[in-house]
Amino acid sequence: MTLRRDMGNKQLLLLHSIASSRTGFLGLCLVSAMALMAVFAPWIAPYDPTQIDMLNRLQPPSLSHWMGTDLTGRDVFSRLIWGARPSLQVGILAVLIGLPGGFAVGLLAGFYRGTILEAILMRIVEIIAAVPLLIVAIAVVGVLGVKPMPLGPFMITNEVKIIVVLGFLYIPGLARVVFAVAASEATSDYIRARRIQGVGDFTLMVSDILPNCLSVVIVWGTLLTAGGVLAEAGLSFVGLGVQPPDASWGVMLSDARKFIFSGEWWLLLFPGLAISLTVIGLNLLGDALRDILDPRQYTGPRLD
Amino acid sequence: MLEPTVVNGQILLKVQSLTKDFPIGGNVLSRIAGHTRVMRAVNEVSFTINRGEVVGLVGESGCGKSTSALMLLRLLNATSGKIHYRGKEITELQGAELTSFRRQVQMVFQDSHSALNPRKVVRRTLHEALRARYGRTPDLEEKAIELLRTTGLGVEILGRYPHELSGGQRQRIGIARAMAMEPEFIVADEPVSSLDVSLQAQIINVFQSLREERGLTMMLISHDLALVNFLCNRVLVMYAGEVVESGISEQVMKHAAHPYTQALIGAVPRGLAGRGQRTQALAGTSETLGKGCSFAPRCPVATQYCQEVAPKNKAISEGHTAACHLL
Amino acid sequence: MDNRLLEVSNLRVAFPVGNAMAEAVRGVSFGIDTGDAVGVLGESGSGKSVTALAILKLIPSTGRITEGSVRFAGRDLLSMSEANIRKLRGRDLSMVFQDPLTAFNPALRIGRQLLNVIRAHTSSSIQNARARALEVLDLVGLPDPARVMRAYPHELSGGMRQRALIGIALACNPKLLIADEPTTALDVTIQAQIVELFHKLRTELGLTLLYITHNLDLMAELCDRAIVMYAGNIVEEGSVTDLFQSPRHPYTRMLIDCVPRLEDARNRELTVIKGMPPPINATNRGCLFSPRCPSVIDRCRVDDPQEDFEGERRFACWNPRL
Repeated sequence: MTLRRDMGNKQLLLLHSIASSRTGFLGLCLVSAMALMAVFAPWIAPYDPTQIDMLNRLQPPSLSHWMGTDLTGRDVFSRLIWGARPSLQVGILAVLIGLPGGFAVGLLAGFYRGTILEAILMRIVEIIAAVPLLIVAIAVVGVLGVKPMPLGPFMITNEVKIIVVLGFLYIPGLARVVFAVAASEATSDYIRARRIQGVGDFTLMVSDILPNCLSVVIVWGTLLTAGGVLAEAGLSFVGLGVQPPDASWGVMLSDARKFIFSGEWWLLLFPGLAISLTVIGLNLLGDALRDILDPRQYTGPRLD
Repeated sequence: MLEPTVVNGQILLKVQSLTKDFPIGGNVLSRIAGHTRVMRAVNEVSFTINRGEVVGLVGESGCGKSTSALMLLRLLNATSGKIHYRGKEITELQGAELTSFRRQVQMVFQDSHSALNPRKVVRRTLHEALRARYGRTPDLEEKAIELLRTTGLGVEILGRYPHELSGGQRQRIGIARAMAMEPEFIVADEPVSSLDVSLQAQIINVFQSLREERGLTMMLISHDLALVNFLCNRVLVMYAGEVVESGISEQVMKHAAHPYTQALIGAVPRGLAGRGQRTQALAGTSETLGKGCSFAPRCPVATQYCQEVAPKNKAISEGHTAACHLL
Repeated sequence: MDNRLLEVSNLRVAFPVGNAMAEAVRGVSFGIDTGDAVGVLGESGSGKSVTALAILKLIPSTGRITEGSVRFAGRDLLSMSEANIRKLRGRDLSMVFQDPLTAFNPALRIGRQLLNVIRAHTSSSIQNARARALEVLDLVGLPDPARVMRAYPHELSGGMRQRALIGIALACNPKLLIADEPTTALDVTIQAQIVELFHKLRTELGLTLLYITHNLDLMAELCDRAIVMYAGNIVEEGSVTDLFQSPRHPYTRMLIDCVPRLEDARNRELTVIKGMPPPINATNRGCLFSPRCPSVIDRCRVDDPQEDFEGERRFACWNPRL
């Protein structure tokens, strides 16, 4: 699967390549569906997700409530749609927060491989990698509480705290992946050629090595986003994430805990399905991207 | 093919006792502290290059020729020794002086997958090189096109990625990139070894014409004796990190003094002339004893003395030296 | 004709490029008699390696042998089942590849890999197989064969690895050994050792050899006859002496002249073949070498060159050098 250059715009090329592979196409569809759901929630959701209606609680799916109602009568379908927001937000934003740190550490450690700097940076990375998400989340929430806290002009919701914590914990994964590429590219002849043009280390890292790291970061990033969706669901499930009355898939599952054995299957199925499909979609997308962006495509068929 | 004009025997590059040790084993800390064993990749190498010359550095893999070249360009720091370029010591240069040195000495690398940044189109690679030399001038594109022309490439190459080019085209880009800095001295490290035979001749031609047009001084590093004999007027033979023989190409190739040079020349396939004449091929590999002559373990005429005492370079005739006790 | 060990007729091999199939080998025919040493000379894109792989039916699964036949010791290889041809490979018909490092399994000792081959093709006992293995390693000139048996591939030097690889190829006394650029990755002094080994194997064992290389002088030392390939076709074939002293095809001539040699005068003009070999999916009419040929005439661009025969020689050119 080679990218043809006659298609002009690189992003369009990429999209075309993704759409051409079966896994990529499926992944793209799933992720797009969830993303669109999140973006257009205010317009798609038939009901207010926090609207309580005790008279109609625990109704199975019907024409008026496509996915039924939950224990306080809120429309499951609307909550599902709105719940896409925190899931995707956490997934994507956490990765975005981890990126600068991951790049910085990975590039420096890889470029200065064999020096004390690399040794120090990689040890720090190992320490951070050893930290379990749940423990830290509990610690952070224990110290700061689950209520929104004011920070200057902003209100930091619990979701934001999760995003920051997760982003920080993502640094090791990203750093390692960048490190691998940076370390191998740093010894290339083209870097030497740039050096003898008089170019300094920082420019080399940013202008020459960083672009070569992009494809691995994109792939790893999609997989970490999937991880973020799961992390948000898990943390919200135990009450450390999104706080009621807001909707998130994890919160919906948490609310449904009491009803696992009592026959209200719609409370568990739909959020569970939403989480699974999103994660599957992201993984498929990541797989497809990995194949497309594989540097193997740079060497054409060598037939002798 | 024009004989290179040597300008009044003016020395351009003088290398004295250049040495490079690499630490092996241990971890980062012990290596920085210097507490590990070392491997001596280059051992007290000395030579000079005159303006206008083409000097060949010949040897097999692991002999230290590429390491020496990297030190000449300050891409690697020498463990000890001195390098004088145009009379100025360059081993300790920093900052603006180093940048100015960079403009005068450039390198052409072997065509590997890492000789050109796979993410950059040719235009970008050349523009960057030109910008490093000229700063932000408005005519970068014209200059880039001119560079391509001098290496025999057309304008359409500018928009291509390295993986869309053939080995020969990539190598020409490598030469163009080096020439963008307008150097007076170029080190070419195995510039044609990974190319098809018919393309090698094309690239050799590019080097020839550049030399003739601009009076470039060149150092060609190669394992290919015939190529070195063809292009270079002087040759240095390296073995296990040392220069074991040096002199005028014709002299060294026809009257090789050092047993290793003789073995190297003997190992070159001779085509029809080589049929039926089985020269005794050199046995063994280039592992050294640690003392004495580094070639002694494989040398067909080594003596006990050779294994004890390392030989020094001595003059055999005008301009021809070799490091062997038996001369 | 009873001496004919290998007969390749009109072999065509194609690979998918983009949406179409492109021919890497375009109708190649040649023969090897027992005891011969035949060289295949060509550059990248000539189809020389694909031809060799096709003989052993080892071309990558994306490729296809679209036409032709390969007869080995009278048997048609192309119509053989995979099971039958596997019995031949490694036993009667063997191959040595260019890169000795990747040709070995890095996780297994040399001895184990050698024994695997021997026991796959013969019904020897372990002791006999082991004895044969040591014999073979000695045959290829490895000092201390017992130590080599215990070693892993990365523990050996490049030259020793290549010898071991040749040893594995010879373990079951093949009738024909195909060597694809076996010395390209090696230093020149090691290369000379390996060439000497091949020579010894030919004289002592009467080994029949098909030697693929791009190095003319190497091939001329080792082989008696050679085939010159360009863009999937055989452009010339003849004795090595004839090829070097009086090449008929312009490509052969230019290939010989564009390589610098130690014996040459230093200021000899180096012939340059301008341009590049055609891409694998080239479909121009006429001779594929015509865009680069200095002796091109109009007919070359229109008609595919026909083969001309001259005793033991043949060449395909409308305007050969005579």
